[in-house]
Amino acid sequence: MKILVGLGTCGIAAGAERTYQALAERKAANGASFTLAKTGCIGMCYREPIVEIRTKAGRRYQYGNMTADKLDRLFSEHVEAGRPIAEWLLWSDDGSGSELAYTTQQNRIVLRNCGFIDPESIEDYLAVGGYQALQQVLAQNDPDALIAAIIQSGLRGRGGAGFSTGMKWRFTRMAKGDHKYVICNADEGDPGAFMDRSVLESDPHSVLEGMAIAAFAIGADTGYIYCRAEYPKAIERLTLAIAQAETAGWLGEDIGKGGFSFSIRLKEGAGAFVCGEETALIASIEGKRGMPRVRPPFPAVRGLWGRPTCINNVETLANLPWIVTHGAAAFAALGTKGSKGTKVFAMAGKIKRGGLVEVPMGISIRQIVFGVCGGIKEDRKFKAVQMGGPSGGCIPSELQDTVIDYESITKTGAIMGSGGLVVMDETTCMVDVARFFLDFTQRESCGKCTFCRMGTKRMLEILTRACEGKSREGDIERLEELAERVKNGSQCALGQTAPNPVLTTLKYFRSEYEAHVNNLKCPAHKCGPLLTYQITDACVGCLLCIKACSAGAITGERKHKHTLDQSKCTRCGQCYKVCNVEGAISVD
Amino acid sequence: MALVKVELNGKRIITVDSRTILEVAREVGIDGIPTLCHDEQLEPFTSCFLCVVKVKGARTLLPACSTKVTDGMVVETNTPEVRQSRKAALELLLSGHYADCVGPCQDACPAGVDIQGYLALAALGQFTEAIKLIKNRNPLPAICGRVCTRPCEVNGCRRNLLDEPVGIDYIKRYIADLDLGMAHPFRPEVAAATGKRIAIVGAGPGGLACAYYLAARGHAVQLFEAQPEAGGMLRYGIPEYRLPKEVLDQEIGQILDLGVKLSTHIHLGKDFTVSSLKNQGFDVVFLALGAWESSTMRVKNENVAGVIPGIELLKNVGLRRPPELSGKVLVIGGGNTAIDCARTALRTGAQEVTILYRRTRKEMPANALEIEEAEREGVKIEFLVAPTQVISRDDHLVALECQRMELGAPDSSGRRSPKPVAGSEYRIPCDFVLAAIGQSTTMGQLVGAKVANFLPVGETLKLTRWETVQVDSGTFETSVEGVFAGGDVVTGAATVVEAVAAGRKAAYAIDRYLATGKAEAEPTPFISQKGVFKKVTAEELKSQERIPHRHMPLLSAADRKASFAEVELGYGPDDVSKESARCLECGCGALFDCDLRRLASEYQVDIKPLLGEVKQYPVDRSHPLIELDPNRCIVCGRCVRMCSDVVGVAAYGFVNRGFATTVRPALGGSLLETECTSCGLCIGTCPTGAILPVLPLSKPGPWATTAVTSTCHYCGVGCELELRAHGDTFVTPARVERGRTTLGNHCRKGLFAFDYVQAPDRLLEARVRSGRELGKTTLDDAIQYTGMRLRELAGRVRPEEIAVFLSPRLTNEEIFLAQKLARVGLRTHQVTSFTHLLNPEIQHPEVVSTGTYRDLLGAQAVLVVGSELDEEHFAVDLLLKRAVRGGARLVVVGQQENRTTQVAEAFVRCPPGSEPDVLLAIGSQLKELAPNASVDSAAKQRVASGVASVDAAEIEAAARILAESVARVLVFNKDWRGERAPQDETSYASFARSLGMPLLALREKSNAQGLLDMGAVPEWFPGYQPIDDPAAIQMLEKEWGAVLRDLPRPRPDIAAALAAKQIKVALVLGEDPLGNPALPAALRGGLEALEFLMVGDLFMTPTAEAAHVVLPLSSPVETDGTLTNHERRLQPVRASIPPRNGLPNWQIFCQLGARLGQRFRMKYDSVGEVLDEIRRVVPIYRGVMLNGSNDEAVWDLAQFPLRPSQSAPGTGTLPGRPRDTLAFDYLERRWQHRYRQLMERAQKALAATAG
Repeated sequence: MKILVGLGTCGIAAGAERTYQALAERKAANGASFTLAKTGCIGMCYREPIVEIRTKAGRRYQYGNMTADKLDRLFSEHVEAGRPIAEWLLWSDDGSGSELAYTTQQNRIVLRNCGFIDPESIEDYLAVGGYQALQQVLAQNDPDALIAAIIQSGLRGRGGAGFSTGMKWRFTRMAKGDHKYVICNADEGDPGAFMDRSVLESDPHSVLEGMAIAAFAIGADTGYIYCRAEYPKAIERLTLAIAQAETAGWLGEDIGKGGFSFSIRLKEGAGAFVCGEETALIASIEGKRGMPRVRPPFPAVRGLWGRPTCINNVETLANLPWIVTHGAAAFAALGTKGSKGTKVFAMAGKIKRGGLVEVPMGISIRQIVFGVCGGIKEDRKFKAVQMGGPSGGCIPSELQDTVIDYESITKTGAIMGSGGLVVMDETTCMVDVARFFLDFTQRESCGKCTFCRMGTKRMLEILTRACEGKSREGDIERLEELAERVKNGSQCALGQTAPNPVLTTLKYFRSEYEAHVNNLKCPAHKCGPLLTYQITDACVGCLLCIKACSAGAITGERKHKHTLDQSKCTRCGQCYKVCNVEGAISVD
Repeated sequence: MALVKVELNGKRIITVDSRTILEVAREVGIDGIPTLCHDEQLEPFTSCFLCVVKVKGARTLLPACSTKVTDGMVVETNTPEVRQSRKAALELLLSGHYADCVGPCQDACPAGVDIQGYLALAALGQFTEAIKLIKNRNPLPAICGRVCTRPCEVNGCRRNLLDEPVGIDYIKRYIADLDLGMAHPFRPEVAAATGKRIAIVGAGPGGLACAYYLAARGHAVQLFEAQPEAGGMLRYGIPEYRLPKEVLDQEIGQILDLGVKLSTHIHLGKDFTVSSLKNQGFDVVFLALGAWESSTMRVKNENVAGVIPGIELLKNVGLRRPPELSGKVLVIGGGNTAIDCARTALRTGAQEVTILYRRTRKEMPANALEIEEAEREGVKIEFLVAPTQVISRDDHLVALECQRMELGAPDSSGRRSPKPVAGSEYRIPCDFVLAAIGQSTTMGQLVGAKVANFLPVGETLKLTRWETVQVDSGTFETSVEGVFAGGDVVTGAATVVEAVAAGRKAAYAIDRYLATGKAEAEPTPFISQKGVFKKVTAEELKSQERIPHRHMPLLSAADRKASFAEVELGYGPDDVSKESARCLECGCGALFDCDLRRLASEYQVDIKPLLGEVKQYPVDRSHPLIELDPNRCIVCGRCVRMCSDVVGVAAYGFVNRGFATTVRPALGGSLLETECTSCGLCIGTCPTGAILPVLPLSKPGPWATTAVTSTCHYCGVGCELELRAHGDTFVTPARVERGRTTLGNHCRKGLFAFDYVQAPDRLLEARVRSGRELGKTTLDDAIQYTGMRLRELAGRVRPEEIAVFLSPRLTNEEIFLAQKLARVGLRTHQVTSFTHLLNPEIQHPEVVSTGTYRDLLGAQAVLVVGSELDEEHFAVDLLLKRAVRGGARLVVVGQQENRTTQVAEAFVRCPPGSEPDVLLAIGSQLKELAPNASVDSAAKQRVASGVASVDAAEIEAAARILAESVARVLVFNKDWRGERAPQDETSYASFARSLGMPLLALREKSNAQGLLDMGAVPEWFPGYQPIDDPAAIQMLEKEWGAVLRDLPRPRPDIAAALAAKQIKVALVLGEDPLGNPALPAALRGGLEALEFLMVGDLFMTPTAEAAHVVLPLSSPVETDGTLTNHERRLQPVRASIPPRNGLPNWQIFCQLGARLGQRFRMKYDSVGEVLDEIRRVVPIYRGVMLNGSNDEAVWDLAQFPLRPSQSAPGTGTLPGRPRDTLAFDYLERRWQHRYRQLMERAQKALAATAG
């Protein structure tokens, strides 16, 4: 029997290291009645720490919320008595468990090894067929055929833009240069997106193998992984994996004895969002300020140190070994006409099951939200999903049957992006949401282009004014105009997409903007300064709100209905928060 | 690269696809695409998005600076959509531009006078320019200097936050009074008569101002005045003690002098009407009637004797029939008229004067200073009192019943309005009441049916409900065609300066109306103001020193009573200089050449809707030559890229992200702490005023300058510079972005080393020795005296005992004339330069550049030997680096590492003096690599020992680079003195020749090449024609009309002759041998033993101190002419200001010639005629075009048939001379000294503050 503990950053944050420690102590005390192993992220962030019991026969039982104090019962009932604990069981491949729907509706290609193998062990990776794809590619020794196969698979860049990976390789291969480079873009910057981190932490070798395959295809001899410094665990495991791969001969000189040499260097990014943009990323590796430059020439022609460079995202690279071993056709069989394979999403927001899910392209938003993730928290009304992070947009619930596919998503005004998916319910204010994302992008603008640097700031000020009830006449029109100008007058994707959250919310929720700007109201009752509190006849006169009101706006006596002086009210909402009587204080 | 067809604004163009839209547009003369982030020197960056254009088929507008043209591309550069986008970008940029274009004083002035500008001129003592600047906007400065309400000081001046406002008005008065006292006061240029006639009704300040500006534009103006004399309220509303009638008469007189006619005693509505004026043929009528009706107190019983309208009193005093006042006088009102009435009453018999005002002192509209003076004279003021009725006995005033008031809520004007206190009525016994409540116009009575035929048939003159004339606020047009109005008649009673402003603006509109048939408002350029973003606080001025205000000297209170003598006595010169120095210079130094502002005005931006957060940064004044104001920065990054990409220093960098992004000295500290080399290219590229030069003027303006494009006179690179001047004041040189010679590059000398022009120790007067003293005299006298002495000496001194020494910084024309003077006037061939005497290697004129900068930029490989380019020829270094960026491979052979070697692919470090051996060693390698290159095999042995200590691998690398390249250039510094042997440069030249490489022989003095070309060599006539060449002699004798065949042969070695005291007479022009500590003692002795020494220079140099006559020379910014740079390019030098010494050098030389009896042989009407002669008699200059294209301006090497010089090696060769002391030039030494001092002081100050 093997016991595995999910030790991704999410698990560690939930206390998985303590659980692991307790298991280790138990093992030391009891002798080797079981094997203890680490694994990566399983994806059910909402139930961390997660412990898996894997029987000799290979049957898997995953338990959620496994803090150290629960181990006694786990041991006595499952390990020793062999009775799985149904009330804790998340999922088992025997078809039981509360979260079965979450796992069975997924299709894991990128995450195939995540939560299954020990990320710190190359043996584990080799055991599940690791580096076989590279071996196969080297044996075939036909880069053009490899590129053709990748084009045929229909794989598109998972970093956000969705450009054909094979085509990108072909351009880089065709470009002239004494050296060529492969860069793995691991500068995952979208707030709330963490699939790349999860892959790097849980299955680093698949990324290294993907890079080696890409390098072979385009003729590169050096690779860089540009990983944000905020991912210490990923960096630690990548460093280890690179060393293991070098020792094992999967990286370095003359790999596979066919004359192919490829080495990988790790470059830590300093946390600038814009460094995810490929030209800024290159500048950053070169030691310059991360600022995008004019394209063309594209990095495929003039990239790192002026040489042809292919930049692929982590998720893209992790797909490659699978495609090589399973064949392009198998990959192309999944998904829609223009979008093949699967996509990993980081599910967040007002949803019952939040975490990482990998679903086939072509699945609808409704299926993800309600099918895979179990619907909206507290069964509130589903309002919208925000897709693509700060560069993305909001898709309203009316469009929940939109399928996940590059073209369909783009048509709504949002983008596939790197896979952030935030679910919003009726209590979410869309103006506030737009403000949140724009606040992020305007801070992260590199400051180069006028419209991006100044325009996003002025847009943010309009949104802030709207949320604070200080709008000026014509603010909505001004916001729309600025949004268009920023979109069209910026050099890189950061600026070009920064207005998307605003444009999509304006498109689908314009009435909310009008309410904020023209009527000084927030329909979702979210923007404090726009709310009016009133004490209704339901008030029982408990004095609680009077004590809570720091402005002294509420007066009254015990057991008599209190009164609220609107001229003194600062709209802080404290009275509403402390009131215990349903309906005694109304908000509008 | 392929040929493509492109359509630009409908124009079809064939070009290549490597060009950007912007480049193509500029090439074909479509210059309207604006850009703020692009510079010709830089790679496209594309950040400002102003250069966007519409490309057919493209989804969005595309940036022209980085979009390459493609075949069939159709581009529109100026569509409404494009303009909208540019406007939006500008608005965003300016919404974060926390900066003032002009000082708040100018902004507060209704007439918009350039106050900071004239204060700066006053500080420099440039009063003529100052009055000119003032009168540009206000033709009545002596009047306004006395009576203005000074919004500039009261509301404008930022010194209010610090201590007290600058005495702007007092300084203006001083400037104006000074001008009035001149024999020839300032008079504007009057344009040619247009034949248009304008009638101005009312000769008050508005009418007078309008008349002034219309007359200056050539229109015939007639003023119609109802009163006996012109001046309006200035004469009849302002008392003498504030504005003496004499001053008024003088300024009116100046306006009438422009041809303005004046008719007095003639009333509109009685003697003439608007319609009668039209019938008389006036094209335009301007109504400037003022507001003469006194408002009533609106209280009971006010029409009794003893109650007088205040304005009536003042008018009668003005008409010299003052009423007899006596006893107790009450004045009602709180404006300036009330104060004037009170003070006038005191002077016309009143024993006691009290002003009653219904609000408090704080709300009083009268000028605070006036109130103070009135009180000093004994006037009492009672606040919060209003009259309710007049108490009379026998129809005669005995008392005034008043009521107490209290202040209520603020009214629409923002002032708290008074409310009566019930039951507080009380009586004040009095003898007279003067009502100074307000004034109104008489227009209501004139229009309507009250005056018959007042207007042309069918016209109506619209009035406002206050019975003022309704006009268009920009054009001053009334509802009647061809009738304009301005001043009080439009605004109701207002200030003098507002009327002046209205008169000027109306004049502009009327002029446009007359020219085009359509009135246009005076243009209002965009003005950025800090106050629009937020209130400026004292915090911002905390680093400024508090300096007490200079108070106006006043007539003593005792002397004022019963006298109308002027109370304010006026500033003295010391007051003016101290007070003008108090100006904080709030306005931007780039006001007149700011691209951002120019575009903001052109695109009529409005930033108000976008106002939000702004960033505020401290100004960096630590660098002594460069001032950084990040508040004005628009983050275009041009300085960052210029400094890192072009110069290779990286003193600037971007800091922060998002909205907070800004450009700061690298690492965020001060510029002084970076590697900044003070080249100043950042200043030239900055499109705003964020990076400015620190000008060596006590107050640097800014002023609208006049600019000429000239050539730098420091080294032989020949950078083009724009020379900017204001009037006779040289302001600054500036970068020429699209310069043709060095493509917009220059070094720090080009930008900062011009402070000598205005230096106080500049030699402006001649000196003539009398005994031990050098006495001052005029230039004319000195020339005459010199001529006399030289003629006298010529009688007894042989020509071989005369020598003329010329500076290699003189122009071609000056050198040519000086050698002609020597050969024709002094009959000697001994014309040379100390530079040559002491640096005989320069005597290898056959080693001359065979290539140009173009060859450098097109090279695949460049070999630099024996030069320190980054120090000595910075602009060539930048061109070289540009070539390297473009792919050229650089090989440097030299002794030490420097900024140039940093970009070299191969650096062959070698010991001093071994450079020729290294070249030969490279050559021998090349012979193996490239068999065609020939190497002198005999030298091999010597070479091997010479390069024994040199890294063989580097030599091999250098050889390989050269072998692999086809287009190669050799660069070396021809004037690089020191350890090098004189024959080295010939070996460089033969190396270059053998490899077929063009040669760039760099020169250190601006006209070292021209000095030789123009014949400042004893053995050669101009153009290297040997002095014994019969053909040359014949040609010159014919051309010059002089006998040259019998001139004695020059001494073979002039240095030796001088050392041996065989030279008796010398003329030294622009050189300072005695100031050079390294001058050999023998030469020093020879100079000191001269029987006669004439020196011409810019300063009293040590050589000048030893002279018998010293002539002040004109500087290179004060003269026209040409220089020949080391590419052999003939370049123009243009005068930016008149010669400060009085005469340009070429005329001084001609006059000297005339004194030597060569009046007709040295007679030229212009310096251009000298160049014409050069083109005729100097063979190598035949066909060289000035201002021609690059190629044409370079003289042809084929016309350079040089015979070996016959001179023996010079004796001046001094082993081990330190290099820097050989900068044989006062200017250069002076600048180096100043620069070092400035930097040291700044470093020290910085270290002190940091510690």
